[in-house]
Amino acid sequence: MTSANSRLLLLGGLVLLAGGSLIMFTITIGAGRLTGPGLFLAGSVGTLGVVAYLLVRTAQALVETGVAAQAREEKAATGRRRKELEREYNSLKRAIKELELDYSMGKISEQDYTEIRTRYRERAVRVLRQLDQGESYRAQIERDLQARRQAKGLPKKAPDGQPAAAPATRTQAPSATSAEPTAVTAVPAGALAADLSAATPKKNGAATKPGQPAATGQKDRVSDSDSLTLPHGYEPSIISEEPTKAADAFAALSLNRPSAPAPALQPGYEASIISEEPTKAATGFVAAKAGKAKVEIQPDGLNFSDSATVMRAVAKLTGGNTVSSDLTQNEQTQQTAVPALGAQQSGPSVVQGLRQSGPVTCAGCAAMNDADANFCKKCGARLHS
Amino acid sequence: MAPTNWVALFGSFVLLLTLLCTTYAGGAAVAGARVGSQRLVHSAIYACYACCALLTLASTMIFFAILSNDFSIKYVHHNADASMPWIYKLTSYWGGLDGSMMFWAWLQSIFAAVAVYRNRERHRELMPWVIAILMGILAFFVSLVVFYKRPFDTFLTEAPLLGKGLNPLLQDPYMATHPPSLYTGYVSASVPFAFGMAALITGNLDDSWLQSVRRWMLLCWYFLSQGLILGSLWAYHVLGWGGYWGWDPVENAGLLPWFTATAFLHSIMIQERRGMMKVWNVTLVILTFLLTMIGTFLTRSGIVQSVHAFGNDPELAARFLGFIGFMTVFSLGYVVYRLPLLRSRGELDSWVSREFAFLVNNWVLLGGAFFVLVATLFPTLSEAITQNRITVGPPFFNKWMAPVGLLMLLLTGVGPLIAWRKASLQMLHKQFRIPVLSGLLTTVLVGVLIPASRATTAFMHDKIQIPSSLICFGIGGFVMATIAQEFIVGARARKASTKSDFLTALVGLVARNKRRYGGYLVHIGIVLMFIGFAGQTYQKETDVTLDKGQVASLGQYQLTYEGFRNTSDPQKEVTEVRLTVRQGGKRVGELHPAKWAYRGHEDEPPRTVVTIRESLREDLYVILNGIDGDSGLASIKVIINPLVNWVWFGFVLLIMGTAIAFLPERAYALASKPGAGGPGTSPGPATTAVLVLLVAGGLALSTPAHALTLATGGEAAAHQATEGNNFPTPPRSDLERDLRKTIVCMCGCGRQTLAECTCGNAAKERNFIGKMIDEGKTRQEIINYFLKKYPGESALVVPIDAGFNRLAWILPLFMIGIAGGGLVLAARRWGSNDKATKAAAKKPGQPSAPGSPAGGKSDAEYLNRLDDDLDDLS
Repeated sequence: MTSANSRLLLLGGLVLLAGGSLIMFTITIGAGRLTGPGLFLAGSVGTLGVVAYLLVRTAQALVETGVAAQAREEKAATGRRRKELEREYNSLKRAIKELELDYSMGKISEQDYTEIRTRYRERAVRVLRQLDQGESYRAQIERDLQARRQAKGLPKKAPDGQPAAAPATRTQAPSATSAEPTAVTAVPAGALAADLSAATPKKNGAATKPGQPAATGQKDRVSDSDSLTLPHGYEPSIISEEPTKAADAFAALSLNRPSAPAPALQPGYEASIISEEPTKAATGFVAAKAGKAKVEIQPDGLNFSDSATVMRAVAKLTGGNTVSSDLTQNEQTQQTAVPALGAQQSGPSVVQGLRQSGPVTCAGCAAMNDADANFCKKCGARLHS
Repeated sequence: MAPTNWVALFGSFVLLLTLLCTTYAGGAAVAGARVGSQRLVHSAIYACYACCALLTLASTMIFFAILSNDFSIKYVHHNADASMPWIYKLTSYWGGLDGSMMFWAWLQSIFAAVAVYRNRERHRELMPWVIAILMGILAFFVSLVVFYKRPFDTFLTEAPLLGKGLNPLLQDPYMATHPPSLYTGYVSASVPFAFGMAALITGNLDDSWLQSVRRWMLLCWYFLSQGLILGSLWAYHVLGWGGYWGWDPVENAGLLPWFTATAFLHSIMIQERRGMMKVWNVTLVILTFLLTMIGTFLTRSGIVQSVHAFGNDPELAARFLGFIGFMTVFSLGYVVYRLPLLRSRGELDSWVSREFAFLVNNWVLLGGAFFVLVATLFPTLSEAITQNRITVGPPFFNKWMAPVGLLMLLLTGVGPLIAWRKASLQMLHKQFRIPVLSGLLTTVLVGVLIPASRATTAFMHDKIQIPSSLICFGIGGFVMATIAQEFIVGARARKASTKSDFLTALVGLVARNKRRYGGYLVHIGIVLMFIGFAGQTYQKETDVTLDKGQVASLGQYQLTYEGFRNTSDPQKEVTEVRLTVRQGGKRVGELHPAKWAYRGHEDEPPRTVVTIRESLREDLYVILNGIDGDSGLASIKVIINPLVNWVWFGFVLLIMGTAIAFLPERAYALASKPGAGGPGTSPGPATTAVLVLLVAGGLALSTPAHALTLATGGEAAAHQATEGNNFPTPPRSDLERDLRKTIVCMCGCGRQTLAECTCGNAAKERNFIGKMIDEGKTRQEIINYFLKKYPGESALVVPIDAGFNRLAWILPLFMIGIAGGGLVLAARRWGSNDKATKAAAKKPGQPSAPGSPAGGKSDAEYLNRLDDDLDDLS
């Protein structure tokens, strides 16, 4: 029996119970006439049925096991999730339209308009992507939680048939708001790197060209990148809206490619960065990015000194409350940020795991592949010996 | 020994089970969050629903007991009687203290269940903590009704045969809906609080939790507004002292969270747009919740004197204080702990910006809240420190709150005109030109056409007299022009983009930007309310004693006393007088002010039943002060209240604006599916017509064109007028009128002045004042007499402005000044952040422009799809 059917059955049962009681109390209390006390007493009987059902469910939830239960729950969760995503997509569309109205009424500068609109559109695309995907979103969340549990050293609670959670694999799509460094940083870092490498200067220019409707720019911009993309099903609703200095930091990191003006990051990642433990999270990101940079660009180290923004963001995240507006001075910032970064890079397995999470370069054709890919997507050669 | 009452027993059992279930839900949620067990969290979710069902069950049991006149239950005996109409029997559920606590818990459980149900998948990391906080609050209230204020307690001895009945003043449609509205407003503040605390506890302090709570806060704000307006309507139509807002402590208690909720609804926009004010927003959420608790505490502790407080209960006060203290330390402590994560990301680009206007708005609102809080608690504070309880009456509030109100109104118009980030001079000139002209024109026109509006009132100090009413009209004109400009410019922009006609574009504009234009509609409502408030400054009144056939005149009205009659029904005895109203000599109708004496409440003064002849311009408001059954002399009070209906109109617009902002997206999706044009296209003329008709219909329905007469007629039987020696007499001189308005009635019915209070004690005191005047006593001598008669300065409506009493206004002003300083400092700091950012951005090689997002191959497809959807929306 499906859950919808059982719910219908339950509802029908309750209505019958309350209706039967009403008839009975109409006879016994009102002598054939509907009375207030009879009505409320019948309501009490119906409510008692609901109470009993909910108390049973409360107890059941504690002991419920099995694949079927999980599948049922996942299915229900997917449906709910879909509704939530649709709601979020609609509200994003509204936000974009409202912004456009503001712009047309002269209430917002062109720069702000372009910046905020880009951000909203990116979020909308992410939501659309999730709406299209088939997999239960709940399962992904569960894996995310599991990964963090594992990272935290808590007992593993893998559902049946679920592979052990390796914190730094792209398919495990951790939550953007995660408080734990390992799982939090792995995917965003990879995705960020991919996003950064995908943008070309020309397309950036198109996207932010003054006076031009941003929609055109957007359409031109996102075209044929073969870069790594944000994992499907990545949590959108908990992604923050504002681009931040942290985003600047990651943008600046990509400046290792001298020809590329730093593109803005997908702003959603900022939520991750300022999640529960800023120091670890930030370090994780930076470390992951560093690992990625080595694979991707082969730089001779990261040049922090030419970007005050990098320092500001990293210092803010690593230093937390110790950093204030004086962070705008480069030298001071470096003093704050770099030691913190170094300390973490030499740290435990967090960084190790993150480095493994980066994309893999094919030894045969030098193409970039997902971290969890077994074969090169370009030449088909085996990636892992 | 009374027989066992199984209903009461079962009700008590259900409440006990609720307490266990609540505790379990909170505990399981916390345990689930700590050990990462979804099973525990799911179980907690179901337990949360079960709590709601259990309290619903307990509520149906109490309804059953009340409707079946089960007077063996003490609560039913105290608050209901068999002769009450069934609707008031139902409202007696929350008419008493015990029931109101249980009703609160019931509402809390419903809101908790709804909030958890709607968000259970959206914020999975937050939800366990949200449940824990909500269940914690619920557990507090449920434990009160289980252990302390037990609504199912029964008489140990033989049960009485009759109930005492609900207080007659509460047996009124407005009072039937006023408390539930306020409670709903209070309780809904707990949901944002729970989300805020969950975000603080988990550290997930991005904007997502705010998105979830915004609607809840809007709900809270709306119901508080509704509660306050219904309270005003009740005071105006039932209490019969001629006004609608008397700064009563209980009403003030509802106003306090209203201020902070309003501030939140504005400042959240800054966080959404600019990422600023995270600390402030989470603090506002917490403050709103704490103020709702303080409001509940004030109403139920007995520490303030109010016309509708629940009475003195120090034990309950102590419990509430403990709970509020714990919640304050717990919540604000977490804010301090999480300060590093709540750092502002944005910067203040300019002091002339929307952001700064919102900051000032918050400052004014919080300043107002603090002022009202201090002034409300000042009598208690004064009593605790100086052992003298003073009275802080309406004149004091009016004097100090007028500037706050006017500034708030001004900001309502200024805010929408200023651009985000930075407003250029050119832009300011363009935006402000018409509204400022409109404001000036309105001031001149009103000043010329309504000379009475030029009347001056005390503004912060008795010696500073300004025409605040005229200024209010002027600002009102400015704000209305601002909003009209917003609608017109927006509609033009939309018209250009959609190629539709202006009206269609206007309706589409509102439908597509419901939050903003719903908000503007609310602002129009607020302006109308302020116009109503402004009218109060030139209110006219007279007290007269009439014999049959005599005429009383006030303004353009002449009232002829035609006679009186006594009627009765099983519940009450009615004394009603008949007055013929003439306007400029022409008969325009009749009014029937009355007194209702409820059976079983003989020790209370009869309820005054007001009659009002309403119009948009002014209300003719008539109160029967008393009647001498032997001679047939009737003492009546006639008041002309200008523009009162604008307040109620304003509220209607407030409802409409909130509804527009609150309606779900799908409501607009349905509205935008005309037969022609296909799904998702812009609303066509048909939709336009429908919406315009709806709006017009709503306005027409809400027009109070009829004269409201609350008195009933047609009942038979006789009634003895029982005023006797307390037969009220009108003031015979200005001195007598002034003294009546200066001295408070100490009968315990609240803080009404002798001019307002309708009790027998007030009548005696009034007569005594008249006697002393006849004896040649001066004003000061008479005041001194009352100061000696009653402790401290409690007999004076406004405390003497000297010594300790000065703290009543110095303290709020000091705090508002400090807050203003803090505001400037914060703005400067944000401003310096901005400069630093810009300086850093100018460095060579530094990226300056916002870049593009990346995407996979399919991003282009998604963006195309998004563009198509957006096109459909336009």
